[in-house]
Amino acid sequence: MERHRIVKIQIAAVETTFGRMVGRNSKGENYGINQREWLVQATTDSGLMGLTNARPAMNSGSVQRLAGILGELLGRDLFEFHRISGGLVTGVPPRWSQYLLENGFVSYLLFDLMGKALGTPAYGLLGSQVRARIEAYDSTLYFQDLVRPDEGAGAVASDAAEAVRKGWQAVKIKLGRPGRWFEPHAGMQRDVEVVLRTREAVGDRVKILVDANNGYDGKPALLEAFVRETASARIFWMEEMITEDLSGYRRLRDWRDRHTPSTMLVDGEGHQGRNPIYWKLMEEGLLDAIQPDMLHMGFWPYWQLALEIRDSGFNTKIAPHNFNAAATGLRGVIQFGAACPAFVIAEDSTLAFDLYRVAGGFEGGSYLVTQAPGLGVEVDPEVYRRRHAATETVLHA
Amino acid sequence: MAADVITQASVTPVPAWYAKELGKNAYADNIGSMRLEWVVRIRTAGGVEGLTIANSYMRRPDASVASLLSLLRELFLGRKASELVSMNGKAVVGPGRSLEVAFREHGWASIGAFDLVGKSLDVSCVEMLGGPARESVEAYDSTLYFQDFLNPELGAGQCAMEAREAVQAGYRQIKIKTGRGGRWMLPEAGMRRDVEVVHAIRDAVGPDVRLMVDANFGYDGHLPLLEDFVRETAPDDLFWLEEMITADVAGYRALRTMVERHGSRALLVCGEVDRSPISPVWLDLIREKLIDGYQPDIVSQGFLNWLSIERSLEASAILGIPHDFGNGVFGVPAGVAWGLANHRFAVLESERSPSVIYDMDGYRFADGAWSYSGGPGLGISIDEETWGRTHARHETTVEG
Repeated sequence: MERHRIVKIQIAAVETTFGRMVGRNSKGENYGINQREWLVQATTDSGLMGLTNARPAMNSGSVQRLAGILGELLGRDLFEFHRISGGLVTGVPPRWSQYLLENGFVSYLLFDLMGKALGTPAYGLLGSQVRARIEAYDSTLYFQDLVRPDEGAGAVASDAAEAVRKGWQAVKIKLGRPGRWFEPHAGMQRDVEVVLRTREAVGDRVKILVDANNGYDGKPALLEAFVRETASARIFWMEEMITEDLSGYRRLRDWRDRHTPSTMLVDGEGHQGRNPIYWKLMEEGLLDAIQPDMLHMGFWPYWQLALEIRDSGFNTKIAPHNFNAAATGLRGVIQFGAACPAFVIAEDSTLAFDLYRVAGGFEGGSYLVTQAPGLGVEVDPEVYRRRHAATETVLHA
Repeated sequence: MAADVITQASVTPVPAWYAKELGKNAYADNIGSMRLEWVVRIRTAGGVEGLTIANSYMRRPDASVASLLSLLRELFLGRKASELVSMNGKAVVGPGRSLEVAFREHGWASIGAFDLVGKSLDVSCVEMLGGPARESVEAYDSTLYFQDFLNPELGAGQCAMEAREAVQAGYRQIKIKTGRGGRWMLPEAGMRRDVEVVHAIRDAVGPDVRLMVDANFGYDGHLPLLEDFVRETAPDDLFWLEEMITADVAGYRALRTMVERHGSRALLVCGEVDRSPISPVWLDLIREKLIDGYQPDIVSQGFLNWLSIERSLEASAILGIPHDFGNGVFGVPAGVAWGLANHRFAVLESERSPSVIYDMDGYRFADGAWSYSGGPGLGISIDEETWGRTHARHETTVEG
């Protein structure tokens, strides 16, 4: 295989905007108007350029630490990080297995480069294409009622309607107001009102997903009331209504079966899918989809997880968390979903970065899977030069 | 029931918007455009109302509206307003019986007590704090975060542009966030950008505007770079250097030496992360005259804790410069009341959120300073028309 040595790495903070204030969820403070990526570009001596978003490393780290992580790539051939056979990735050599487990975001960059070197989309390194379109849900409907209190629940409903006008056919609503920011009973009532108003605003055909960020922990009576009172809204999935727990999930499944049997129960953002409780829930049929963060975990470990769930005979699907991963993260999820049979739907923080040129399109609430090599996204060199070049951090081999 | 018995307390989240997006500081990601002000209203049977905010309480990871309501019930309901504080004439001399521990832990609640008692007795908080020490309170704009990250195309020029806007809005003092090398840039590049930003702002606002810098400990572990920063910015005549490093006697000795070596006149200030009673490391820094100003938060500590801090500082020449960021609009009346009454007070931190719910007719900002024409308690009340239209739906009340 032709050698492609990584010789240069550029790091730049890239800021963009949601276009409106995104409020809090059940546990955290306001998300804000702006969102950002830590764009990393790696260049090979053959002239290939691959990219990723280093946000996972920067959530608690520093540029200095990130430079240390990325510095390990310099001087290396891009094909030494994965085993490849018949054009497919088949494993990770021991030298890099821990590194890539700890820094899953680096795999985006490597799959982007490998795809470009081999002339294949990144999904082609995992398997065959199983779908041509990736449905996506707008994931920016936080507690907008606390941002625009004069509108109450209508603030969420009107933002959902706006998302549908822009093309999304699925929206996720943050719930769990009983957890922290409301008096518990008032919070449950507001959650119900938000769901029902949103259904009214978006019509019957749009999927409504809800995510309580565990905001119903310790409040089973309120959770049952929520499930019962929102049955008419035909919620597509309920996510993190409570912290993963067998008895809690058994109760939740019973309420779901009684009031809204088509609703999926989804959970499991953390621990790269390896926490034993996830497997106990899967074993009992209590987890309809699992959601580790794609950018944190990286392509190969995620692919392995999907295969292991399938091979265990569990009926749990894959729905990667992707909120903080922003635009670059979404490109990775689209690639993964193109090859993964168990994939459900992509989380979309709906951000537009004028810095990126993206292959494929967005139609009817779905992203079209591109056949462009790698991740199917390029940096606009002129925008980068004008806006970011002066403040980038550059590492050389 | 006696008219001054407290029968009702409520909590309401109210958005407090900044005039712009605030970027990162040395350790935290973007501050954003809006924070909630957790407004607490405490009412007596006779209809007198005291106000405070519970922002610092709600920032605790285990806090919730439910737990806050329990606390308000325990602290206030069934008590007489007159029993909340102990007074000598018009001056407050301490907490009411059995409230010492609670007001030390939840200083913000003591401000609500001051406001309620002041309104009950028709006495201003300034008088309750010992009477006026000055006619107005100077204020500094504290919204110059890492704005260069928000508009990298302009870079340091973005910070300079926003500093000019602050001066046009009437501010004569501006604080600049620094410490970029702590997390968001490589250490040396971060120091260079910090210097560039300070130079650009000094050029933009001229020599008469007072400039301070605050590194939020961004130079920890980088003393040689800190010395570079001190040397390079000495011509910019910085008024103070805040939290350049974590409080530590050896570190501050080194910093004091740097400042003197490079002819800087900058004061050394820190302490916003401390609380009453003053912690040993700050007592050491104060005793060795290694800091010139001490900065626990005015609202989270509250008036009673700050009175206690003042007693501890009596023998020193330390300035009291209460931190007042994250306190929304309410931070203005709380900080102004304290500043007007306190001889040691230096300048008020301002996050420049416009008032949407408070009637603050007695307050006026002009020529870089707040003045206050008087009124009982803090001299503010709720604009009930706005409240009813916009915020009442999110008010949760406990009664008893």
